[in-house]
Amino acid sequence: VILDGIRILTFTTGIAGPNAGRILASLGAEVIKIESVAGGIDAFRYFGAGNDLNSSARFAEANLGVRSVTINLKDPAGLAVARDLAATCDVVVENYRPGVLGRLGLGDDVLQAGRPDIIVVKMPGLGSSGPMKGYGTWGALLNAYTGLTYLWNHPDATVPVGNQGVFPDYLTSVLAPMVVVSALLRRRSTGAGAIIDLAQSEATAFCALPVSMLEVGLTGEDPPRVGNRSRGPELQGVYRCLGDERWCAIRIESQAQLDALRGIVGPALDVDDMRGLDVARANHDAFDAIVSVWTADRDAAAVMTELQEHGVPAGLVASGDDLLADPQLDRLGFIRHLDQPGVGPMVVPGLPLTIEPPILSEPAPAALLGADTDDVLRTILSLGEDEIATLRDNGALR
Amino acid sequence: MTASQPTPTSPSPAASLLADVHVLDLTAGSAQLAGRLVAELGADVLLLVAGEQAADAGELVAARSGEPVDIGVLRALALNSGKLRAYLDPAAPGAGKRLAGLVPGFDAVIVDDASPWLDLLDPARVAQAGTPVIVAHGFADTGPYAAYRSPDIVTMALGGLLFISGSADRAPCAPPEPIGEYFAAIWASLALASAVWAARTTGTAAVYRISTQEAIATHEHLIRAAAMDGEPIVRNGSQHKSVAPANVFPTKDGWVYIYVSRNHWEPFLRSWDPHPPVYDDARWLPNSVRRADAVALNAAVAGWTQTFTSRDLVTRLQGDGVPCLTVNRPSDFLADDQVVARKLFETVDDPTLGSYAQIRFPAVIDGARPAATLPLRTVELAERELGQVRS
Repeated sequence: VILDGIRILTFTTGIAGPNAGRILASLGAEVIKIESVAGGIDAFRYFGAGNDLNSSARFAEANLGVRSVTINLKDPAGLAVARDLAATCDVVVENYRPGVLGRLGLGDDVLQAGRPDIIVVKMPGLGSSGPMKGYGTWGALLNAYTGLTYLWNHPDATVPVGNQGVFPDYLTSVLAPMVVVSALLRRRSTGAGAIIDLAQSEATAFCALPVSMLEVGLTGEDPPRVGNRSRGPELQGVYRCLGDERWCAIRIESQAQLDALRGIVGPALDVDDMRGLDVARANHDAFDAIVSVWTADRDAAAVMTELQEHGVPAGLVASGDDLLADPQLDRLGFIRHLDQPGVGPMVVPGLPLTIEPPILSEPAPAALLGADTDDVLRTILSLGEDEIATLRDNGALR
Repeated sequence: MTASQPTPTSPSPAASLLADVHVLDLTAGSAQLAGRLVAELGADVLLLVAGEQAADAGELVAARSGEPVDIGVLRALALNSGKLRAYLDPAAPGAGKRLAGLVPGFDAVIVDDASPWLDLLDPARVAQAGTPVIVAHGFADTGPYAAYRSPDIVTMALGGLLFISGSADRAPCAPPEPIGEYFAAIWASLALASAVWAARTTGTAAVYRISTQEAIATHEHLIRAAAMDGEPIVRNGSQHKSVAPANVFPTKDGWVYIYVSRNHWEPFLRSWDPHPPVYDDARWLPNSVRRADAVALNAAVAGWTQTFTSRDLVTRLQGDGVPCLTVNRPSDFLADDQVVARKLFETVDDPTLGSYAQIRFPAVIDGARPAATLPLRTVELAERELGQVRS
């Protein structure tokens, strides 16, 4: 596996940090997540789980393959264990609010004192510096803050609607491992570690709105909201199909595709103001109306298949149920079935990455809270059973 | 190198994590963001383009005077900042041989299924010869959709994100930029770094394939929720699927997003003054109870938020420990106090475009942020073939 021999300590909660750990574990790193019932439980353990900290499927999905160690960082002996453990690690990843780890006694200076070439990646919402560094953020707030919510809208809408998802969490959870591996490459070349402050808001602006940010930086003007239209020469829309909440997205990028669509839709599109791409684009409302009539009494999947077979880009707007039944996603077992302790049978997506020859780790279940504590202390820190028992009795490992 | 072309600003040495990495970028679609990401970290990235694909910064000069923006040119420059560019016609005699001759000089090759070079490149053979290859697909190289056309709106649809985007009473709404392809490009950048690591540490040169549809389908627990929660997630604007109030709310001068989870509810009630006494009942503490009554709760909260300016409300709620941020336009974001303080944007001077604000890599590394990059700099391919040019 790619990151064989790399050990990573994580202090993470929610999606961005935990999912970064899951990805790094799939790349072959040994990822050890620190939590404590004395303060420092991943908030997702409570999602849909009541008070049972091991029964949240949402938590498990974001922590597959990650080991779990419980250490009470507010206990001096516990803090010492965490410092010793960090000194054996190549990388520390955390997404707590800025300053929290430092106040607990695991600041950059402490980590570097334990291991001078350590790589520390922080993933705060707004960054570890600046007047708003301490603000509480969640993914949906960062959609709003960066401009994504405002722009993600139909042009005539009076309210910024956006999307209920947490795109900032997901994109940062992939960008962080990329930065980790990049820092490992530099360390291999120069011997230097790194302290990296990866702000989720900035990652969102850079990676979700690169064209908009260049446009406003260059012209001073905000991009227009275009809804389902393209800002380029293409025709594009999302059209209602037969059934409740059944839709198909269609995009016409060339004259050949428009001709193919006209051949399928028939006479309604075979009129002067729909024959050329430019003129059809100028009459987009009329184009939409014609296509909508054609799709309205057709099955969305059938529309997609017929158009794609004729070279016209189209895709049914898939719900979660559609994803489960999608023959392409089932290819090579992207949709994984596993038995998660505390949860039971789980269905989760795999990684969107395949490698030939295969050098990825299969996703293992998420560890039960603290399941790896004794083994990690015994095998990595060489603590004896008596020492571990004493730490536990004194509340340092809860 | 052409004398009139700008010289990209070199990233500060401390921030150049990939200073000794060389990437041949054969992408033509939005996977180009992957090459920009590694270029921002100091990698030498050579983008090979067919002549007719070339976008030139000069085509954007008019946009600075208020003329309509050519979105194709803007996209090309946004996704390829910091790279070198060389021209080669894939249909020209000997193009495949020249491409094959270039590859061994790079640590990795990246290509996508929009690229004219994919037909001239056998990824498995290139990897066997020692150079890892990253291939970004809309779907995949195999499977029933392998031959499907895959612009972003199609992969967003088949990946499940479009279904939950926009308001419930209208058609699903596509994002303002191809964020599904961008997300896959971030995966491609991770694959690039991982490929170089694997090659250097174990000598393994592999073929890494990313599927945009699969990348999108990893979001929002879409698959797990459909399989395990009994019902798929549905479209509902910015309303959080399991928390309330967690939505966009009006203010005197705009909008804010407020997120009140279980831990924030009591601080929120203290800040929400006066609030309807009914909400003082402890039964409102669980997220599920508030979410079930989100329509009425949101309406009550909106009546209060409209009495504040966005700035005052953000300051008040954040001061009370309640997550709240302004719904910004991109121009608001550019001018935001936090963004300015962290120097996310840098004013650059381009000989063609003049002075403008360029976004920088979203991380501060050892106290320094990588310097802003400038648009593509064109080099003669022959120079690169002779190993004379490094960015």
